[in-house]
Order: sequence, then C-alpha cells, then structure tokens
Amino acid sequence: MRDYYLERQIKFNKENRDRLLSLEHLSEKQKKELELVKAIIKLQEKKLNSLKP
Amino acid sequence: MTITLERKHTPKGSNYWGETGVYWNEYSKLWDEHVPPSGKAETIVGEMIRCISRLQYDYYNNGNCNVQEYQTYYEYESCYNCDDGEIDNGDVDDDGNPISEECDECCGSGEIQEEYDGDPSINDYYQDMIDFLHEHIDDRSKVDNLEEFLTNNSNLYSNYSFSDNEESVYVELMDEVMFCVLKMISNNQNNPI
Repeated sequence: MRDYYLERQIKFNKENRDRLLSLEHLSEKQKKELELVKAIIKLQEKKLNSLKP
Repeated sequence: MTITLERKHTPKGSNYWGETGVYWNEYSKLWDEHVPPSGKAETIVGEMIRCISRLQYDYYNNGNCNVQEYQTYYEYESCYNCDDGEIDNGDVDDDGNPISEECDECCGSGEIQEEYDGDPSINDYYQDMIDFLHEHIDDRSKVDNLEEFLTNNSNLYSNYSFSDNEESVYVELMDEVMFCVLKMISNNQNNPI
C-alpha cells in the first residue's frame, strides 16, 4: 500500500535539503539542520521501501 | 479479579515507527478505537497512546524540532567572505594601488554573528504529554529516560543517528505504554480523563 503522506514528507525534506545545499555559505545552525535532514530522508526512504510489496 | 499480563519487549532492530514493535498490532487497533482524529483523547488509554505517538512522531520525522527548544546564543567570528572587512576586487587606482571594496556580508566589520543552540529544554505542550505518561505509567524510569534524552546537551538534533541504541528510548517507552494500557483494558480501568 502506498503511503502518500510519507512520500510527501520525503519530498518536502528533499526540497529543504536542496535549498540548504544551494546556499553559498551555511551557518553552523544550517549545517546541523542539513545533517539532520539528510538522516531523516535516509530513515524515511528506508521505511517507504519496507512498505513496498 | 485482576488479570496479570506478561510484559513483552521489542527486540533490537524493530520499532513502532517501522511497524515492527512487539505490540504493533494491539497498538494499531487501540489507536483506531481510542484516539480521535484531532485533539485530546477522552480516556486514559487513548491519551497515553496519543502522547507517546506524538512524541515518537516528532523524533522520527522532525528530529524533535517541535519537542525541543533551545536557548540561542551568539558568537562573533571572522567573516567568511572577506579579509578584515575588505574585499580586493582586482581593480587598481590611477597610482596602481589596489582598490578594496567594503564587504557586504559583514558591513566592513570583518566579523559576523553566528547563531548557536544552547542547552535543550522541552516545549510546554510536549512536557504536558510527558507528565501525563509519567502519571499513568507503571515503570516511570522509561519516561525519565526520555526526558533525559530530550534535555541532554550531547543529544542535539544534529547528532541524531536513529540507530537502534538511540531509538531504544522510544521503543522501550512504547512497550511500557502498551503493556500498561492493555493491563488497564483487561482490568476495566480505562477511565475517562
């Protein structure tokens, strides 16, 4: 069964990740946010894959 | 008559977020039966399940950015964009001296303000949920472990690994909540709040 909500969350997080990656300079706070977003995307994609039949 | 239930523990590598917790089927059923689509539940069982679910959700999906609050502090550091407030753009004046421009990033000061997170604390909204669990759970040490996790400075969101060890705080608390709510239901103790 597809999890549309999770898919939307991953899309949102990827957009946020790409926005941070596109910045010329990242503050310390933004660097931390980027690491977190990357870890969450990895986790959410793992879950999404486990749900696929 | 009081019914005694056996305590079960989710094995390492399994969790409720991945729908593999030891009480997952019971959790899923009780969620449908006792937790309203929005707002607080009407019963202790429903509210306990709602509270732990909200806490768990924010950890896995937002890195606790709603649960944790940080006292922000600032430090001044050398500007990354210039040399002491000036940028050499390669131009020279009539005498051949290099012309420097004032740096836009630091307005010529040569320093920029960097924002840092201080010690984490728990947002009041989620603290109420933790307090509710603390009040109704049998093994309070599981709730204490979560509070410690959320307020420990070494557990800042950027350090989250979502490893088995790290998430065990949530998995063990979820197991305990499920054990307690199943016991309440078995003993007809699912009272209204």
